Amino acid sequence: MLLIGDTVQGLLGSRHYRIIDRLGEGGQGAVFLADDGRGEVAVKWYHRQNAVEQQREMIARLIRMGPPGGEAGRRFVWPLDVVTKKGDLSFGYVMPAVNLKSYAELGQVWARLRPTPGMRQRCRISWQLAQAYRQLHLAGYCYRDISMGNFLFDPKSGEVLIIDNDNIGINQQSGSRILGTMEFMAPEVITGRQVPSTSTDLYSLAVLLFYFWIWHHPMHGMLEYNVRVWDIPAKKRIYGEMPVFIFDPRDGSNRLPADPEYQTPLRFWDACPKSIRDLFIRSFTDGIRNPDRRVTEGEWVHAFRQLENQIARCPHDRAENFWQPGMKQLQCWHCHRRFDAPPRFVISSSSGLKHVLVLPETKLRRSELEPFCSEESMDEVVAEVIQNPNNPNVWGLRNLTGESWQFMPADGSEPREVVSGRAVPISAGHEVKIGYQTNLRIEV
Amino acid sequence: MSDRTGPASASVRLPAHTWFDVRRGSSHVRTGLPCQDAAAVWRGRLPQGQVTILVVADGHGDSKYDLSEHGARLAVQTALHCLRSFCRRFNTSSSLLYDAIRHDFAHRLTRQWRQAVLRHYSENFPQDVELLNRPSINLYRRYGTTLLFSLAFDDCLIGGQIGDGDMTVTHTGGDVGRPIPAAERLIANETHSLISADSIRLWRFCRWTLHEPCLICLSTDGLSNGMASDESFGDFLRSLVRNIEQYSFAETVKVVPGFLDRVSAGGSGDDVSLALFWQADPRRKKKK
Ligand SMILES: [Zn+2]
Repeated sequence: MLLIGDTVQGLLGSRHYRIIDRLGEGGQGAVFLADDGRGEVAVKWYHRQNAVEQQREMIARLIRMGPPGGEAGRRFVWPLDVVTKKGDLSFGYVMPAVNLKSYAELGQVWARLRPTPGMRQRCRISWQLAQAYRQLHLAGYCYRDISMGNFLFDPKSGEVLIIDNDNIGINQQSGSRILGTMEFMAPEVITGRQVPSTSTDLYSLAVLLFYFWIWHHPMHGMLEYNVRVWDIPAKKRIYGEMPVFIFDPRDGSNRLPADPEYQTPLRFWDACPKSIRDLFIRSFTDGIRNPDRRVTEGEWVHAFRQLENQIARCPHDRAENFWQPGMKQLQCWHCHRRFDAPPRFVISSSSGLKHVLVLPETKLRRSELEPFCSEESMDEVVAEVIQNPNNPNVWGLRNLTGESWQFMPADGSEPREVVSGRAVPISAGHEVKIGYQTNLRIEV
Repeated sequence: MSDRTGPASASVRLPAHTWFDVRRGSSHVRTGLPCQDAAAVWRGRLPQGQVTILVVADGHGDSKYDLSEHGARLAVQTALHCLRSFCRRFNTSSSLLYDAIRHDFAHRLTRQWRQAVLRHYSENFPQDVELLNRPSINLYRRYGTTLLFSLAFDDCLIGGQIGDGDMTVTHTGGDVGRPIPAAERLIANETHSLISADSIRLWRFCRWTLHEPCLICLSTDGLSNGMASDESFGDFLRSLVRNIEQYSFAETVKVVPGFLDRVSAGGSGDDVSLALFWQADPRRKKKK
């Protein structure tokens, strides 16, 4: 066991790390803050029973191969060095230190220790999470142990970090060690028919997203409620052998019980936008038995990025509500009152149709206008909604792309050029041509 | 093996190196209020080896919660029962047990506690048929209580908490660890308990590796609130450890009840409960 004040020895580059503080402990080991002479790092130290040679080899390999590339790859807090201590049979590894003041675990949000992220942040957190796994899978890895405990997010900014990356394996190659908590495992892993892979990761990702949105396990309904002896065989049955989704539209055998402790998921399910509910339903009906039907990381990314732009606040209580294409009015999930939908930008590009609600704070990012832009420029703001300082009822969309747009007024009059820095008035039926491929129409 | 709740007294022998007491607060004595705290210690053989469980609960102290003394007692009993059954059923590794506790303990316990409350109510108020047929939150609210537990075997400590109270691990060197960070970080000064809305999500759990002789201590907030500062709370814990080392565990705990009474009288006036486990050698693995 490590103590504050101990020094551990790195295997790569023979660096020394002095243990400064204890940060926390999980199922596999404890995490410490350490100083390597140049700055702060984190050290995870395994419980003796988890300190096996195979684990050490895996970490050494992950360090050698490096984290997945791109922006999303940086969200993995990747191992940097393996460490040992003289006279101690266990070992650990070094990783970058995370600012735990800004990042939270879902359990901390539940326990009201951290603020609940707003809907916009929830969308951002969700697509960032999915995007990170997509990048990991593209790099040929599988995570194998996706769960609530290794997912951190900043409730304010919506940034995401994935920790405990020591269980990552090479897809289809790594040893058959079954890892993780049963709650998040794909049924075929629980029943022993398959070893963890990118495909079973997709199932675990869906469970994690379900927990994040609905605050509940997708299979915890009547079947779980009625189990008198809650033990390993019972968990295997509920999660692996006969899993039934609590919101399965065709099979009602595992509905939520009418117990007050089971009402929160119902409330969140009702507040969850239909596009996401549909993805959950597919994940936990067809996707249970047919891995090919599982929702891919790309589908999650697409769906949550869309939603990020489709949140309208109820004028009565400021509750965030999701608008979905075709809606002229919304009914607030909180106060149940109706209100008119805000105007929309309908953007058509080579990747299809996209809807963005027109709100005072709306900004369009490059990825919304150019679906195939580079990952680095994705988040760059290329247009913003402005209000006329002399008449706040007159709104416009300012061009920040650096290039001119072509504005086609709704009344059919001559198209006009809108140079970068100038704005297009926001009014029903106006259209704007952006670049060669993208067309933006204002819908009211 | 000992399994009981309520104040310890000389006539009951507790297992080695464990101790607990529940002291009625000075203001409760003055106003004739019952003691609304409860505590228990259990130590025995389970698949994990020699397992020690400490539990304390603090029943709410307002007239709205007029049955909270029973709520606290039932919570302690239910928690002991539930934890022992988790140990038996999730016995292949400490990680598995910790996962099961983290994911499933809160809602299993809440449900069993509610059943126990309902049983208690029907035995004591059998005439109240209307409420018994349709038990509502108003019934459970009268039994409102916090709950705090720790479960230790070998070098593994697993703990959980809803609401106020303190769990500490004090080492011989004098350093005091808090497996579950103090609740002052709670948003908006809320108090959480088994009757809070969505209570199953308000639990906090911890796992902690014990690496040298140490004193695991659970107390209701009557103790820390009665102390002048965090520092004096730490001093008290350190003095316990010093005395255990210098004299013995049994000698040390003899003087604690008097001290707890003085804390209550000089401070909050609240009930004070304390449960202790001296883990003399966490590294020694039990032979299977
Ligand atoms: Zn509303």
